[in-house]
Amino acid sequence: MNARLLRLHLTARGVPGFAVGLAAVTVLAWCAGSWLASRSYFNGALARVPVVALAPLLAAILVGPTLGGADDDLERSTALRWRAWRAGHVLLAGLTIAAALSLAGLREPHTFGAYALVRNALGCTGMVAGAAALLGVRLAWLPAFGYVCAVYAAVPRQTDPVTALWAWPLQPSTSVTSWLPVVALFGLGVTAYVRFGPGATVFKSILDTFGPQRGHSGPRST
Amino acid sequence: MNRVLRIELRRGTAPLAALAMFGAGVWMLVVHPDHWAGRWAGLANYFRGSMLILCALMVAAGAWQAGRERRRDLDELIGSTSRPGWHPLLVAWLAVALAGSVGVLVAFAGAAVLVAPVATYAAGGWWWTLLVGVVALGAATACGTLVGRLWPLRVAAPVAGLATYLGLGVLLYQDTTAAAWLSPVHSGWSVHWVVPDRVIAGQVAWLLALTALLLAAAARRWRVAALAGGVAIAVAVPIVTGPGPHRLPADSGAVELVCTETGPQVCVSRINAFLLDDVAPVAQPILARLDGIPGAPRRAVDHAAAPTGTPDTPDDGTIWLSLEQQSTVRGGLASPDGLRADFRAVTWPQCPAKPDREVSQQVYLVSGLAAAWLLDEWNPTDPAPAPAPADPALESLRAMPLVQQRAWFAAYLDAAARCDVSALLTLGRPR
Repeated sequence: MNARLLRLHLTARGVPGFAVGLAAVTVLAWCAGSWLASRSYFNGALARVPVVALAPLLAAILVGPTLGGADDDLERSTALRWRAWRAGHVLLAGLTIAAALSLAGLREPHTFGAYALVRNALGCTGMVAGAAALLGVRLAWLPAFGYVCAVYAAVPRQTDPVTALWAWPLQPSTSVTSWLPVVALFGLGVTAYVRFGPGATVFKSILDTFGPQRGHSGPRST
Repeated sequence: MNRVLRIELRRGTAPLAALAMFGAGVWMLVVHPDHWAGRWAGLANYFRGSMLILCALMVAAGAWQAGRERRRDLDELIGSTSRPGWHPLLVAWLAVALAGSVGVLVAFAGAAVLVAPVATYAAGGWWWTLLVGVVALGAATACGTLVGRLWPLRVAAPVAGLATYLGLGVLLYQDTTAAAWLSPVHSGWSVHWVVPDRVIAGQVAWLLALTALLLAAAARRWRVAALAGGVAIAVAVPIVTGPGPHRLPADSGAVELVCTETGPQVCVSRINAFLLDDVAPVAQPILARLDGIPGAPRRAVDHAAAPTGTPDTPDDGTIWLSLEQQSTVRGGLASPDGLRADFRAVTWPQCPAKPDREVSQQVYLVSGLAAAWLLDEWNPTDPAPAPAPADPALESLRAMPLVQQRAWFAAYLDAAARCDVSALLTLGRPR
C-alpha cells in the first residue's frame, strides 16, 4: 500500500521529470566546470564560480513544481500525515540535489567544487521550499532566482564575514560564515514548507490568527 | 489595439517586468560604477555588458507572460474570439518589451544624470550602442514568448532565463570571432573604440529579423517565420564573414590629448579629461622624482591614446597610465594606488622569460627595490599591487645622499633595459 502510495505521490508530483532534469543539470555542470577549469587563460578550478552559483539554482528551481500537487486543498483533505510526507519529500530532494551536484565537482572539491556545490544546493533548496510555503509553488523559484542572480551580478571579491553572510553563493566553501545563512535558510525553508505546506498558507494562517474575524462562509464551491 | 495594449501594460506581466528590470538596472549600476562613471560611451557600453543579465530577465518575463493563457485556462476562450491568434500574442509581447525596456532605461537615465555634469566627451556614436541594446531586449522578450508558448512547464520562465544567461555567456568566450557581433552582449571593448556603422546597422537588422522570426514561430505563422528567418540569415552572413570585434578603430576625438600646463607633463585623452585634476597630483610627484635621470620617462599619458601595438613598458620617455576603470560616480579618481602601480612599468626589466626561476626571482626582487624607491612613501590601501616589502637593501639605498640614489636608479634603468642580470643582482645587494 505504502509503496503504491509512494509511487503515486512521486508520479503526481512530476518527480521523474525532475530526476531527468537533475541528471541533465549535473552533466551540464560537470562539462562546464571541467571546460572552465581546463582553459589556460583562466585560473584553474577557481574559474568554476559560475557553475557553483548557477547549477544548484537551476536544480532547486526544478524541484519547485514537485513541492505541490495539482490541487493542494484536495490533498490536504485526505487522511494522510502530510507533514511527514512533506518533510520526507523536501529533505530527500535537497539531499539528492546536493549528492548529485557534488559529483560534478569532485576534482579539487575545496576550490569551488563539491563542497560549495553542496552548500549552494542546500541554500537554494531551502529558499525554494520556503518560497513554496510563502508564495505558492508557482512562484517558488522567484526569490532564489532573484537573489542568486543579484549576488552573481555583483561579483563580490571580498571574503570578509559580512560579505560571506550575504554573498554565500559565491564564497569559497572554506568560509565557515558562508555556511551559516545556508543552514538558516535550509532550516527555515524546510520548516515552513513542512509546517504550512505548499500554497500561500503562511499568509492565510497569519490572517486567520491576527486578522479581523470573518464569518464562516461554509464550504467553498469548486 | 491601443486599449488592449494599455490594459496589458497595467494588468499583465508588464508592470512586474518593468519593476524587475528597473531593479536589475539599478543593481548593475551600483555594483560596478567604475565601469561607467564619467563617460557616455562607458555608460552605453556597460548597458550592453549588462545584457547578459538583462536579456536573461527579459526572456524569463516573456516566457512568464506567454504562459499566462495556459495558467489561467484561457486558451479556448481566447481562441473562440474573432481576433486573429497572433494579435494578443503581439500585444502581450509589445507590452512586456516596452515595460521592461522603459524600466531599465529609467535606471540608466538616473546614471546619465550623474554622468552629464562630469563627462568631457559626448560624441562617438555611443547612442547607437544603446539603441542596439534596446532592440536586443525586444528580441529577448520574443525569445521568451516562444519558449513560454512551446514549453508548458511551471518553471519555463526561470529555466529559460538561466539558459539564456548560459548561452550568452558561452558566446562571450567566442568574442574574438566575427560571430560575437550577433550576440547582444558587449564583449568589453574600450570606451574610446568605435564600432563601425556597418556593424551597428547589421546588428539592428539581425535583431529585428530575429524578433520577427521568434514571434512568427510563437504565433505559428510559418510563412512569416520563413521570410523572417531568410532575412535573419541574409543579414547574419555578412556580419559573420566580416572582421571580428578585435582591433576596433579608436575615436580620434575621444583620444585627443589634454595635458597639464604646469609641472611635469601629464596627458589624458579627451574622454578621460575630467580625471586630469586628480591624476596630475598623483603622477607629477613621481615624474618629478624621475626628472633628469637618463632613460626615465618624462611624461605620463593616458593609455587610451597609445597607438595600436604600443608596449606597456616605456621606451620613448612616456609612461602609459590605465584610466579605463578609474572613475568614481562623481568623477574622481577611483584608485590612486592603482594609478601609482602603473609606474611600476618603469622598473620592469626587459628580460625574456627564462627557465632559471631562481635568477628570475632575484631579478624580480631588485625590480621591487627599484619600484619601492620610485614610489617613495607609497602607502597603498590595497596590498595586492604593493612592491616587495622593505629590506636592508632598500634601507641602505634610502640612507644614501639623494644624488647617489638617483645615480643608482639610473644604473638600474640602464641594466634593466639591457637585461644585464649580473648588474641587476649587484645593484640589489645592500651597500
